[in-house]
Formats: sequence, C-alpha cells, structure tokens
Amino acid sequence: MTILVGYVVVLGGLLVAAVWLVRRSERRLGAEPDAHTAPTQPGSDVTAEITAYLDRMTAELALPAADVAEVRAELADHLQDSIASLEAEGMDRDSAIREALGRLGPAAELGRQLRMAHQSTRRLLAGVGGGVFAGGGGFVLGYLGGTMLALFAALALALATPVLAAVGLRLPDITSGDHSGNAVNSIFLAVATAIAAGAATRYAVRTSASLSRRTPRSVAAFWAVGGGLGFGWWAIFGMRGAQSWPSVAIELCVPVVAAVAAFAGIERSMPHVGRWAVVAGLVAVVGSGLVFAVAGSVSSSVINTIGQQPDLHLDSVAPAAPTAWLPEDANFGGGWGSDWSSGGTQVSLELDPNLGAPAIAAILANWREVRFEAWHALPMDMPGLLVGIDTRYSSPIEVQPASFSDTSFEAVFHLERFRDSGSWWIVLTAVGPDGHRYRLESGMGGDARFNGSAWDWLTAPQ
Amino acid sequence: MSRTDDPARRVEALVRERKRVLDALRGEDLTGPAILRRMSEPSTAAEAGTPASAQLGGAAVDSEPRDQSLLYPALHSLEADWRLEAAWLPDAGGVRRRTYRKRRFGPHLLGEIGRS
Repeated sequence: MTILVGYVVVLGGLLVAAVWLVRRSERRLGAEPDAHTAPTQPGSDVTAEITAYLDRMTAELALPAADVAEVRAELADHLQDSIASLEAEGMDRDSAIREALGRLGPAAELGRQLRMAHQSTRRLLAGVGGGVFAGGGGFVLGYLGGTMLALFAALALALATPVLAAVGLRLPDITSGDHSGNAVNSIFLAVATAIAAGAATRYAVRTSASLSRRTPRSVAAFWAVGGGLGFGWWAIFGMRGAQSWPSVAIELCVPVVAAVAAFAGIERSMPHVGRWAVVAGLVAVVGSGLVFAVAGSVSSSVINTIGQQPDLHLDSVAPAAPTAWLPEDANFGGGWGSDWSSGGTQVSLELDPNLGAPAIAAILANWREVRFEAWHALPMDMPGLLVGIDTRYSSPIEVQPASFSDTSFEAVFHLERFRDSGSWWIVLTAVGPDGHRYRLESGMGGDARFNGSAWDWLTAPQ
Repeated sequence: MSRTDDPARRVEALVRERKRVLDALRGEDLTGPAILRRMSEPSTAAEAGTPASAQLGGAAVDSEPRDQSLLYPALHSLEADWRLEAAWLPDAGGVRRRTYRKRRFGPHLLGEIGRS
C-alpha cells in the first residue's frame, strides 16, 4: 500500500510538473503575451520605415511568437529613443530615422545575430531535456485521454449496434470467439497507446521549441524521428500482453502516428489541460478499471463451475497404452503450472514412486520417444460445453520431448505464443515395442491466452 | 562587429560587446538605450580598455562610430547564457520597457569559483 501511494505521488508530481512546463511553453509559443512579457503593440509613432525594417529583421528571426513580439517591441522602443535623442541634437526627423536605423545595421544581419543569440547551445540542451520530460507527461495525459476516448467509443458502439441492427446494418463482431475479452482489451490498449504516442510527441515538439527558442516546425523532424522510433519500437516490440489483429494493426500505426503528430498543425496551440481534466481522466480510468475487475471476477466464478466430462476423446490423439507394457498400477500424478523463468507452461507427470526403481526401469524399457503433445481442447471458458480434445483438429498445437528425471516426465510449453491456442489438453505419449505411438496418461487441460508483442503476434506459429 | 564579413572577427566583437555590457550594468536595472549611454561614458570605456572614440556607440572591430548592431545580440546572448535577466518594467512615465539586470547566481559563478 505504501509503495502504491508513493508511486501515485511520484507519478502525479511528475505529471503536474510536466503540465506546468507545457503550459509555460504554450505561453511562449502563443501569440498572446501575458503581463510579464512584451507590450502587444510597439509605440504609436512607429513609422512605415521602422515597421519595414522590423519586418525584414523578423523574417530572419525564426523564433517563437512571444520572442518575436518581444524583440520587435524592444527594438521599436530603442529606435524611438534613439530618434528622439538625435532630434534633440538638432537632426530633422527623416534624417534621425535613417541614422537610428543605420546604427543598428542591416535588418537581416541583425535578425540573424539575434537568432544566434537566442538559440544558444545551453537552450538547445534545455529544449531536449524539457522535451523528453514534457513528452513523458504528454504520454500519461494522452494515455488517460485515449482510454477515456476508447471507453466512450465502446459505449457509443454498444448503443449504436442494436439501432443499426434494427435497420438491417450489422457491424462485424470482433469479439466473436473471444470469450476472454482479449480482443477488446488489446484494442483499448492499442488505441490508448497510439493517442498517447501522438500527444507525447506533440508535447515534446512544442516544449522543446519553446525552451530552445526555435519554431516548432524547425524541431519537428528531430522529434518525429525520435518519437517514431521510440514509440514505434515500444508499441511493436516492447509492449507485451494480449493481442488481436485489430490491436496489432493499430500498434503498427503508432510510429506513423508519432511522426505525423510532430508535424500536423504543430504551430497551433495545444488544448488547454486544466486540473479538472486530469482528475476526470484519472477517475474515469480508475472507475472503468474497477468495473472491468468486478465483471472479470463475476465471469471467472462462472467458468469455475464447469464440470469435467467423462469422455475426453483422447483416442483421437493415440490409443491407450496396453497394460502389458504399462501396468494399471503405474499411476501418474502431477499437473501443470507457470514456468516463471520463460513465461511458459510447465507440465510434469510423475510415476508412482512406490513402484520402486526396478519396476519403473522395467516400464521405461518398453517405451521410447516419450513426449508431451498439446492439443486444441473444447473451450473451457464457455459454460455448459463439453471438456476434452477438440476433434476438429487433426494435429497437435505443439509437441515437446519429455525429459525424465528421477520419477518424473517434464516439459515446458509456450502456448502463450500461439495466436489461437485457446483451450488446450496435454497428453503424454510414447512409441511402444510394436512401433506404434500410445497414450501413457490421460493428461491435463487449461486455457492459454496469447501474451506477447505485436511482432510476436505477427510471427507467431499457426 | 557585424560590419565585418569575417565570422571569427564577428565572434571576437560580440565577446567584447558582451564584456562591455556587463561592465556597463554595474548591478543596476537598465534598458538597452540606457546601457548604450552608459557604455559611451569615459569611465566605462576606460574599464573596457578601448578608446572612447571606438566605444561611442559600441564599435570595437571597425571604426564606424555609433555602431549599435551588436548591442542587442550581446544583451540577448547574455540572457540566454543566464548572465542577465530581463523583464518588462514600467519606467517613471508608466511605459513598460525591457530592463536588464545581472543575475546574482548563475552558471558563470561556477567558472569564477573555478578560476579563483
């Protein structure tokens, strides 16, 4: 609990700091200076000649809007002061204007010098660091916003589906056969990630532009490449969990989303994010998480009531081993569990140790090529259905040679790497003295859900 | 100064202008024109180690008098390097003007400590 509170406090603090940094940057990039920056208009007696000079100088500045406004206002003020001094020395106004402008040098050269002065290396480094930081905050905000958007979209779809069905328009059901909710969950995650990547890149571009005193468009290419590669790598290779074809398609678009977000309308201000928007996002996400958790616990209780059926159709795998080669008292015991080191499923079957070493050796002498076979099983998460081998399949999902140590046969399966492994049944088989393969034990069943990255999904064996 | 096309000489001129600006500020809050006037004073010129004729207006590399082309690049680069801070403050007439002052604490202090 303490760790959770600490995690929320630290993450919340970083988020608030990032939002503060972004809002400060937006003020600099925006065209509306606040009370602490330049006057909105230079003095009223600025002549056309001075305005033209400032325009030529501004063309070379390439600075954020607030900086341009400041430089123009400051130089206009300087010129007015300078002209007044020259007039006080007896010069006529036109000559004073020309002299004052001449003292500042060519407008384009002054603009270039000022741009170089503003865009220092120190500010560039601050821009990179601030961009990364703001990008992190933007990712969290985008993730919250994306999750809310996905929730609203799901709600709208749920409401629209019966209406559309009533007028004869049926939407494709992406959840058919997805009793575990993997497809829906993975799509939610992918949508939230794509929106988060886009928001993060935009925040990074605008914040780094403000801190490094550059225009957003001039730093967009850097962040487009960085965001595209970083978020793209993470979405395609790094983000592991449930997947589905729609979610993988969205995840493949993440690098493009990040790159496009760095350029598209990047000169426009980011939407204002107030504290209540952050609070509403957190409440929506946490609330929806609780709803899903409650719904999951209800469905789990239904699944657990399924009883095992007597006929498992195991003969479709291999006939039972003759008692002459495998005595009836050679009982197997064991089960399956998670292999923590690899994330796979470890299966283990142990011969009754009471048989004694000579009897076990005699049994083993009859058998060779001992292996575990994982077969598709009838769906175990559907209430009321039979349990056992799904006879529509003629070959196993995966076969693993059984390693024998002491009195146990063991193997590790990676059924989570298959797209459609679903419910499975693992059976121990071996080749007998007559050269035919037999079933040594009735085996065990369970459910597997794909667990991997988008790339794992694309390259998964069928 | 900017009136030369040689980049190395331009950089040298900017460095000299930055030093003169820092000397001129003397811990006070001054606007650009006020700094310029201060830089033209004989005492500032003597501290900067350049002839007053060249000081007038800020020129150090070329001999063109009253050249102010490096004043604002120098002020803004010093601000970018956290040597100066600037704010729009109202003058006696209530007109807001960009006013500069030296920063008391900044990265330059590390260098000064190192040198000492």
